[in-house]
Amino acid sequence: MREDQDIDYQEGVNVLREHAPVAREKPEPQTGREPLSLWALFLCSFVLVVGGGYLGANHGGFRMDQYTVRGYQPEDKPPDPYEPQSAGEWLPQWLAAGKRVYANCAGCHQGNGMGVGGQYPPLAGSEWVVGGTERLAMIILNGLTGPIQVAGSMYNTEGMQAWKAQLSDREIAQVMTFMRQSWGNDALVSDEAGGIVTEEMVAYARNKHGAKEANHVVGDLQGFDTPLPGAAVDPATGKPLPGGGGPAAAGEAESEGDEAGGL
Amino acid sequence: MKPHRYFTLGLVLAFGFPWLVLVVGPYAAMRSIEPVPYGESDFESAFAPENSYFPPGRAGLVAQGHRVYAQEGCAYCHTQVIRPTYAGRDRWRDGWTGRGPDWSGDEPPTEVRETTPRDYLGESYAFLGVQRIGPDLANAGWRITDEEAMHRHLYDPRSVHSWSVMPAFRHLYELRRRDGQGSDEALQLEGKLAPAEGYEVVPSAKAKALMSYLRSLRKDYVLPGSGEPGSAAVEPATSGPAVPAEAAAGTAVP
Amino acid sequence: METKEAIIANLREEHAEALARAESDRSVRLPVLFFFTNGLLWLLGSSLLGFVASMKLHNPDFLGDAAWLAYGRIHPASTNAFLYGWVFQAGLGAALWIMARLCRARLSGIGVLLTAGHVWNIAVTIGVAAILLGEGTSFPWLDFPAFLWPVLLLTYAVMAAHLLVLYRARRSEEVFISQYYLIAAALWFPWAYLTANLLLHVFPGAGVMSAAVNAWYVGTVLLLWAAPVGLGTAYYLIPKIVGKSIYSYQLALAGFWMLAMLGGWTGVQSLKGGPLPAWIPAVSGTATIFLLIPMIAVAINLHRTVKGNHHLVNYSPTLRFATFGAVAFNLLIVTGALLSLFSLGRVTQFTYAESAVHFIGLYSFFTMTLFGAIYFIVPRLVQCEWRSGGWIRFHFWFSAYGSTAVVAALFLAGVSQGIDQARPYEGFRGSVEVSSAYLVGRSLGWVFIFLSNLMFFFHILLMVFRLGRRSGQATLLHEMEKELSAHGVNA
Repeated sequence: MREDQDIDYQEGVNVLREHAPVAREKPEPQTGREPLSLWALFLCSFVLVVGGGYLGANHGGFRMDQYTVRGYQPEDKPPDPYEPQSAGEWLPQWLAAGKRVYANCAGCHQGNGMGVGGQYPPLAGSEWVVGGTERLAMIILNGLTGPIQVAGSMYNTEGMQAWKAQLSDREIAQVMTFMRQSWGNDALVSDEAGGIVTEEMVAYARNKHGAKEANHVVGDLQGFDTPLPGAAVDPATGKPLPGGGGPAAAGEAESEGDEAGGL
Repeated sequence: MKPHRYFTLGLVLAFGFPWLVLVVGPYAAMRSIEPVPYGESDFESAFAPENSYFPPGRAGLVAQGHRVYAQEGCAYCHTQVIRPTYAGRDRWRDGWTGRGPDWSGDEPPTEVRETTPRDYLGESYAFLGVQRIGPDLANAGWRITDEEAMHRHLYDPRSVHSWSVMPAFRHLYELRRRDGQGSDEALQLEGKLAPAEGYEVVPSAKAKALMSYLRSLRKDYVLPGSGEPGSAAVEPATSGPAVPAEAAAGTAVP
Repeated sequence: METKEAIIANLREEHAEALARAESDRSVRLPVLFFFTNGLLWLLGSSLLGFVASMKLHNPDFLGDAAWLAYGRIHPASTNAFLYGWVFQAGLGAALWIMARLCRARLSGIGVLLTAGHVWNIAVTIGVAAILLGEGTSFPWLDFPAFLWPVLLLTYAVMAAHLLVLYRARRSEEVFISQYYLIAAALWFPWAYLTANLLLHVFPGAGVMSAAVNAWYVGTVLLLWAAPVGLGTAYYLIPKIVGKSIYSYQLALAGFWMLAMLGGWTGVQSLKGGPLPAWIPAVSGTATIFLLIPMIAVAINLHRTVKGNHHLVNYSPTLRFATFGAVAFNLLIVTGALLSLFSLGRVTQFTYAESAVHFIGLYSFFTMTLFGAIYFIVPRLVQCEWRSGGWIRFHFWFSAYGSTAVVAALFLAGVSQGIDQARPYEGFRGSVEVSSAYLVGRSLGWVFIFLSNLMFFFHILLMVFRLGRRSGQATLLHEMEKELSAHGVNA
């Protein structure tokens, strides 16, 4: 473009010229007229009140050695919904938690534990559920593929998924306890732990079997119709019974559940 | 004064006032905070050895680890703040706690106190953090009891927690030929992660420094004179009488 | 009835005005185009990095596990590239042009300015590369390694000095509100930058106070650089387009001084409840709440200025972008104030919600307003018009949708994350999983933003190479009806 063809973009407003008179003038004499609408003033006063209240509540005396508001007392710890609210209630809470975990399973095994004929095995009256906890834990941790006979019938679905990545030791222990105490299974269970599976027991199972890459087949479960080692607990408190008892003491079991995500 | 001089003065005052009162003044005033000694009443409650200070000195490769923590951007996902209860529920967060004043030794800890400025003595910059994409690390030092497991977590977080979005810090670890029985520090990796036969994965110097730093993160020592009941909040005799905290470099973790 | 002499005098005066404008434009052409094109390149680059960072939070193995792609490196790289590469350059470019116009002055020392600009870009490149290579400091918005801050400070000072030189060279004593905002921003930023870097790198102090100074710096960049430059630009562009004067000049001045007095106090409220003397974050939070007052002033002013001409938003790209930015400014202040409160902070502090506020400030407000400025300024520098209104529409809508998606996703993710983290007995897993879906939405938003800016970059490249439309009429977003076009739109 040549120099003398400067395009003027028809900018009609010279902003400086418009406002020059105002910018140039000395302050207006006070006339008491508000330039702002009243609602805007109310809004601003409201802001001032809120801001001032905020400062008043939180300033901590404007001291360099006061790190919280003055008079701060820590609140009481809220109650732990997973802990029994009153003495003697540990087991019902544990079962309730197990029922919640079971929601993961009910899709196939159904809410009544009856499964779907020919497709998903029942859990009610199943020897795999009421028998040794080790093989039950193996099934839940690593999943199962291939045919399996349950309560006299053969089942051969595409397979059950491994749950070790989704469920923590605590959750698996809860759902195992729930299954062993529901649908009449409590009458069929007979072990030293009283049908209760603890987190410690599942941790042992995960340690021993959790590294397996692929699903189990029923052959893997041979020889594991054994109870998981772990201290027997008092159903009222969930604490190990004094005087020991329960299956053989656990080895180096991790106690940190997957779910807690401690770090 | 000409109008633009008023204008410049106004600009300088408008910014200079908060600059002085909010930034420079408090910064200068806080430079002088130092460890405070525990008093007699604290000794009597049998948790603070005599001549000890709050906070106790931090042992280990703290400064180097602090640098690695910065370089990897850990502060963008992790905070190191426990807020008072009117600001948040960090005190009781399952998994963020350490051995707080309630700890009696045989149960999981239940709560920690809110953090104070002295808890960060020894660090040139306190990584208070901006977000909790990952858990708070203010008391991580109490929780890391198994270094090898923690190294495995850094090496491949999703093998420990399948839902984790933490980056895999592979570059902090070295793959090297195993020497006979293999190093003590080698990570116990299984399955797909395990190195080839005859090789092992060991933490590099940076990983070790970072681990040392993480294990030094303890922010619920009892405050002097607070009248807290006896607790094992201070490490027992192995660390001896503590000295006033300085940015500790040097000795390996005991 | 004007006399012939009066008419001729008037015409001469207007012609002289037009010539003066053209001269100012010609003098700032090179540096302004340099800053705009480089800035846009950085915008593209940082959007790409931002997209990867966003993906990493719901798909951690996206693009593998290379060290430089880890979230802890790529997120600060993207943030710093966006800030120092795009925000500052675009702001300086627009400021130079507006200042030259308003001061009716010609910019001199172009060579020095361009050299400084090159050095700035090189320094930012080195800084971003350093962060990716693992030499970052993890100081939010100050991640560049320590050796770079003097370079950036010096180059900024050189560039801002040109603004001051223009200001001193102004022909008249009258000062327009935009000049106030731009000079103020030019002065405050280096002061804040110097302070923050000196205290963080050179003079060690208590660790927690360093974190507080860092948080203060973030607040000053938002409210004492981005806000003044954005508002100054909006105050120039909006009256220009609609052809009217600002509704109340006293209100504009009042808003400016209130922002000036409050902005320097903010920033530390993000550490409320933290290990600091309680009054420090409390004062910051109070100032953030009080900022609602200048926000109301600005909102009233701009709204009343445009009143009756809202339909022009359909036609003028500049007005559309600037209006979006002005509305976003309100959102920035409101959300900032809300997040200062402890009642909301229990759920939003240390969550994604806080980065949503920063994003609103830097993108939805500042960037969109600067887009409006670029659409206005560039034709006046390259003597041709934007090629296609359709492309501008694409740019606007994809940017608008993308940024809204990012903001909404971040708020929702933050609140859901915060609610989950407020349950003391749940595992941490819950907050990771519940926010994951929203983070996917955020990544999608970044894709939209990247695409829109790719289009814009292509468009501006055409303009820079003088391949725009040859026309005296502005490129509008839609065809204007005859009656409206009689008034003309400055676009």
